[in-house]
Amino acid sequence: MSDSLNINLKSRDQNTYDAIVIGSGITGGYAAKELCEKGLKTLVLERGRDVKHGIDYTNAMKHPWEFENRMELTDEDKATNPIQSLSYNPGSRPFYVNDQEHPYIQHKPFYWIRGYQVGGRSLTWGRQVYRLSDLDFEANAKDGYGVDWPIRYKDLEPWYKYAEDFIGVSGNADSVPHLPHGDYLPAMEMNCLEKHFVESIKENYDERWVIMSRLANLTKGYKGRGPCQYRNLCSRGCPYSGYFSSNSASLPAANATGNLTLRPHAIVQEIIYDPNTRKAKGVRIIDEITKETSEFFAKIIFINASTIATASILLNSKSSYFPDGFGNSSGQIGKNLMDHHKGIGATAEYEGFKDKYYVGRRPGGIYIPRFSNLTDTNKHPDFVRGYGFQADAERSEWPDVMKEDDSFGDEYKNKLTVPGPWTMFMGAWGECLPNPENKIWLDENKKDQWGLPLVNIQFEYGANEMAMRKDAQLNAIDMFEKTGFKNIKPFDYLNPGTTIHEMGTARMGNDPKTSVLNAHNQMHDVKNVFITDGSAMASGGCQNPSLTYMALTARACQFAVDELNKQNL
Amino acid sequence: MNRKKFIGSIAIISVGSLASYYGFKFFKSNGTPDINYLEKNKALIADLCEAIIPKTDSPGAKMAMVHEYIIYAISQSRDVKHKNNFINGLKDLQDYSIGKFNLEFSKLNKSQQSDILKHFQNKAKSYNSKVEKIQNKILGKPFFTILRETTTIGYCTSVIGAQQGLAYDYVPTKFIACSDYIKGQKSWATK
Repeated sequence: MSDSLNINLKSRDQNTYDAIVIGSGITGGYAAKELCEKGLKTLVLERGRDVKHGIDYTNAMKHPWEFENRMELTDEDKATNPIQSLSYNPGSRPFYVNDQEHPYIQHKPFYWIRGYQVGGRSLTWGRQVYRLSDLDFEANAKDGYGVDWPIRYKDLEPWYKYAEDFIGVSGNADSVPHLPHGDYLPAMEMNCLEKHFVESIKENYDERWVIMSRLANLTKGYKGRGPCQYRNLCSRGCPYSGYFSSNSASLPAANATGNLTLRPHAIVQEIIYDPNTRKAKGVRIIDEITKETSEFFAKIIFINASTIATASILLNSKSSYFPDGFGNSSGQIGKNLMDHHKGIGATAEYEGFKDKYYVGRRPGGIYIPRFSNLTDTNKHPDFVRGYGFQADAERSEWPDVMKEDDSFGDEYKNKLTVPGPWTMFMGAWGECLPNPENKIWLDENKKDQWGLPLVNIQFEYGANEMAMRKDAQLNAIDMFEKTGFKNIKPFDYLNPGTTIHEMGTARMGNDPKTSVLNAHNQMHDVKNVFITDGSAMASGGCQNPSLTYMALTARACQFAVDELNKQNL
Repeated sequence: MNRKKFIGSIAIISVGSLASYYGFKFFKSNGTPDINYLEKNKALIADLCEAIIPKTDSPGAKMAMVHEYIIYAISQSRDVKHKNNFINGLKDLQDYSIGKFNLEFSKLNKSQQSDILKHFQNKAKSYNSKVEKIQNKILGKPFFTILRETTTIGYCTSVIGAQQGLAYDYVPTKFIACSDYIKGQKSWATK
């Protein structure tokens, strides 16, 4: 046996695991935890740098005056990072990519917001966790958009509970039929104006609910994490583990098993197909820094790179067996890109409660669950599906006063330094229909600095979303009018992508001809590959989606391990 | 000339004069900014900040060293048009002050300083909201707006401004959703 073959065999042995998870964000971290806890030696590949919980949250404890430019972005930063800067602030800045280093091609404006580091965007997410219901799982089958989900609520219900139990969710046991709840930690409280709003909505409307948001922020100490300190600085990373992230919760749990190997700076180039076994045998990576390639091998592979990145890895994994991309016999990979539309609603002022204020900064608001198209008999003439409102009330403070007039001197200082009138924000987050014309694909010529093809994104909201927005704005105004608000100001700004809920580019479905994944998030074409990030979504609902991804992940991990044990994989 | 033609000709004239006005302003906004002027006129900037946020029962902008922040913000973090608008605005203000009262801004009494600032406040206000938006995009914000915003941000996020002008709660540890507001209580420094 030659020396080089010896080295190759040795390296192959060293690079072989039971499972590979691509990505360490909210679903990758969660898959790692599940697989490690089930006894699988698991390799997590993360394309960016390591972010150690607590240690690498460099801005977490900074005072405003400790930031050179205070809480403002510089004009140069905004010009250099026109996309990411829509989402970050000086505190969360370290957890976003640099637009210059990570280009992509937009055919219509689509702001692809990314966090390439261990923990991914779980460090900066909005932390609102809502279950879908059969109103959502049956939607495609009923109105004909997209393909039918291969699962229903009852399939996912125990896994929602399972995921919530690990995350630690604060919220109430609200009775909203189409927004099922779990067993939560105590909810955060509504302030005076929000409580008034709840009561007033009850008096004025039937079948309209206002609930406290369900948050992945801990109101009590939980599994050695938290509680929340009410600083409302979550997106800098929380040294108190006050909210759920891969870094604070799932990766430490995975690591505690002794089964986890975490490999940062590992950009996945492609999935390697073995035509003999008709399975994936491993993954080829490019080291982010040295740009050297290496290969890792495993029995099962979970792809959790986030919707657009997952699709691009699959599309880049071409072979004579899969000329159009890995597991893409359906031709659906990269298609049906969705992102909830937002930025529509109103703000308003309320005259009362001048003798009331609050202490502490609650890291979330209130939620008005979907109220449109709930039954077959009560359909909106202009659109299908619906939207929910996120809202919150607060007293006007200096950043608001600064914008509202141009006074100066003693009078101005007085206005800046005492609380002003109560104001409320109400903005819709709406469902986006699956549409094959909204898609991503790889460029044939342009490449990034690692030699990987640039991603093209073609995305545009359609007539259904636009009609829904019109209705949402009217309803926001109507609710404010009926509940006694003044100075109602509607707003409407639409920046596709900035909701950061990309979904749909490797959808689940029953038919391998029209979908990429089966009911267990297993690739129809390649049985040992599972995809459980947003790309799996057959439709998007209007709820914040991360909890659903995590429930799907836990369920798919159980299935994968069962199949391994049955020697089916 | 019928009504339609008449309105049309007005429109052309206004577009034309607006364009030449913008051309001039654009040139003024995009030259090399005289950054040294900031450091040399630190005392003037401090007095302007203090006129925007004066000492009352709590310290004013000068004590909070807001001028230091403004010099940093203008020279390090604003684009060329905002640098120029601010620096040229300082020069205009000094000229206007000498022209009107025969004294530099810093030597004026409080009410005279207020008169000077009102002049620049009106200048900033002089466009209706629609033109203002276009103007802000092409030319950058006007001098008075930059001065007022940077003073406010500088003050409210400073040690003294946040802790004495406002109420700063670093780690609240608890959330009380409905507390009684006691008259005279300061508003929170951070949201």
